[in-house]
Amino acid sequence: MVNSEVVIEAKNITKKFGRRTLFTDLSCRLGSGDCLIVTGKNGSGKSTLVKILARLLRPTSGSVTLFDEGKVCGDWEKFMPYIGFISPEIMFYENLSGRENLEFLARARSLHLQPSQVEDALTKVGLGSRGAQFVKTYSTGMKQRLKFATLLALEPRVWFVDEGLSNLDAEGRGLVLGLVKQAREEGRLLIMATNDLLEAEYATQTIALS
Amino acid sequence: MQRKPLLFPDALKSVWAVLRKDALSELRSKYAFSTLAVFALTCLSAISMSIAGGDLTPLVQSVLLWVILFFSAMAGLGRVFVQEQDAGTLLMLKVYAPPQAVYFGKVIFNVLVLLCLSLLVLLLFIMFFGMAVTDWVVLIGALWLGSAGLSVVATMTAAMAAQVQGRSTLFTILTFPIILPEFLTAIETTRGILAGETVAASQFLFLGGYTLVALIVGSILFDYLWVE
Amino acid sequence: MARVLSRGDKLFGLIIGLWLAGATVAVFLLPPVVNLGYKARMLFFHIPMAWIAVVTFFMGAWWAFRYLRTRSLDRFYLSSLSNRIGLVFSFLATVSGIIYSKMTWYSEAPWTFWTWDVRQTTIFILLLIYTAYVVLGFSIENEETRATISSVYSLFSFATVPFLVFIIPRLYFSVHPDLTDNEGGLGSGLGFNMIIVLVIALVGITAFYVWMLRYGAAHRRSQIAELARIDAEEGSTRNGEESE
Repeated sequence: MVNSEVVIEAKNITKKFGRRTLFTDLSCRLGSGDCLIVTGKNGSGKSTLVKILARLLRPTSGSVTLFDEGKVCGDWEKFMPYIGFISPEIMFYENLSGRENLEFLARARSLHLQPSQVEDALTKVGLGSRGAQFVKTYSTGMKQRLKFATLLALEPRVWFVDEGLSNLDAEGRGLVLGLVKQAREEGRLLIMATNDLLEAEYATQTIALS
Repeated sequence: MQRKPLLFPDALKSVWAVLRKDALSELRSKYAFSTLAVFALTCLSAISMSIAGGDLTPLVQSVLLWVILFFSAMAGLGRVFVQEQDAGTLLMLKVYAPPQAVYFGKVIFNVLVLLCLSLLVLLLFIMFFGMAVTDWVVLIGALWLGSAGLSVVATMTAAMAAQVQGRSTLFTILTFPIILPEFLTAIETTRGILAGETVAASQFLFLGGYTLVALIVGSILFDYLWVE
Repeated sequence: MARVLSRGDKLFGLIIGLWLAGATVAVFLLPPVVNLGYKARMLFFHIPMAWIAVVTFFMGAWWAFRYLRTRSLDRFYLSSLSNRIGLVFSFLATVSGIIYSKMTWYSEAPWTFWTWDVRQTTIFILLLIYTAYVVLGFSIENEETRATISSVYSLFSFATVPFLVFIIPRLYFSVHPDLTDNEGGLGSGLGFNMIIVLVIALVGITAFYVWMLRYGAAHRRSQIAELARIDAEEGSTRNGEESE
């Protein structure tokens, strides 16, 4: 369970690529347990907005701030440990196994996970039997599941999920929706980019990009 | 979240995680070191065959040694960032690893790779060019100081070049001017050692100082490069 | 077409032009120097060019630093412009240096133009750095990525300066006269008139550098304004179409 309150506040976000303006003056304020859904056509800038909110991309103007119990975590390095990020752009190390990938990411964040915690996370996403195999032997759907296993193992307070349901079969979609539901109940902050109505059901706030 | 009692500060553990990950990948693919080694061997045999046992002065030996090391480094050291970029793991690293851990992890990895390579090249030089070594400690000291400097600079320029098209050429272009002062000093020092002269301590100070300055400045600038 | 330069800048440019023309004439009016003869004329071109090559390097690094702190593309533009000017001037300094050294120190050897003297090495490194910087800029599409990587490169190469300026020249012998050395150095060979002319040339060329930066910045401002105007026009016609 997540106990302290984490708030992400975005103020007047504008993003331009060269002379093309994606969006102007977007603001939002999200607290623990909130779920922001970003919808919009292909090319409307959903992924860009999610990356800006995760501070992986600099907006043309505006700011994103994270507060923990009212305290500002302004530095990039203080901000990152709060978040987990899933997107079609993100990849795993192909010649490490699924388990080694999770262990590496946890170590890089200086979290010491018990082997059982890693195993738990893998089992929850249905990869329990494949954890020791190299990621290069995984199918696209399995890699997508592994991305969710990252979130389960590292337990970040804020989840950024861009196209979380892509490449998943019916069972996988059910599983991911269950995880999203559970995360909301645990009081995590969710920011998701999707056009899928199933995910959109959990929204407490919606931004529709045009 | 359960945490074990810490043996090292968190920052060092993150550095170790990045280094360990790169080393594990390298042990499985053997790509970086084999590229470097084969490249060095190719250069060396091309020169050695065309000279065919002719006598080389210490200056020429020293120049050849460092030129081969430089171009081998250019062939292989860029991979630490290029591969992350191409495989799409760069974003993963940005989210989960602190920038300084990435910087020092990659620097240490590259330094280790080049230190091993410089020993290999030294052995080949002794074999093919009949390089006479009298003072092993001093020679290897100079070789390693110079190689470490080369790796530090190359890691930083690799981080820049990885984000660019035509990166392998650009990598060399970017690295050469910055490494030149150290490169020239390393050649001069090695020549002196091979010729059996007493080498001034100031030259070692220069090599070490240059490496250290590049390491510190790189560490400061890496944050700006890494954080969007 | 938007007006690029203000009246003040035009006047400033005119004054600098006249000033530099005057300095050039003054150089050719000077009597020959003891030991050097008319060859000394080259110095009045070589020294100011080398001076600007160094100044641009410092200013380029300074604005690169400011860019990384503020992420304002205007700062990067100044840094980039300064470094591009630096490339031109370090090239000119190298060429004039080759001509002068050929006439002075290598006049006996018909095929010697370049000996990797310390000063030649350092100016060559500077040239390589500027060239790499410019090529780096060409090969990056995205403006912010270009600004960030170029600025980091500018500052990273700047870290080598102490080694080039203070340490290498002490380790190796050079034929190049030391400007700060009054005993037997350049300072003693030149008469009072010549120092005056040299100072005039240095002031003029520095003012010219400042003017080029102002021109570049003004040019960029007018371009941005032009683009904004086009955008605004396109926007209004598009909205008009939608409302119909």
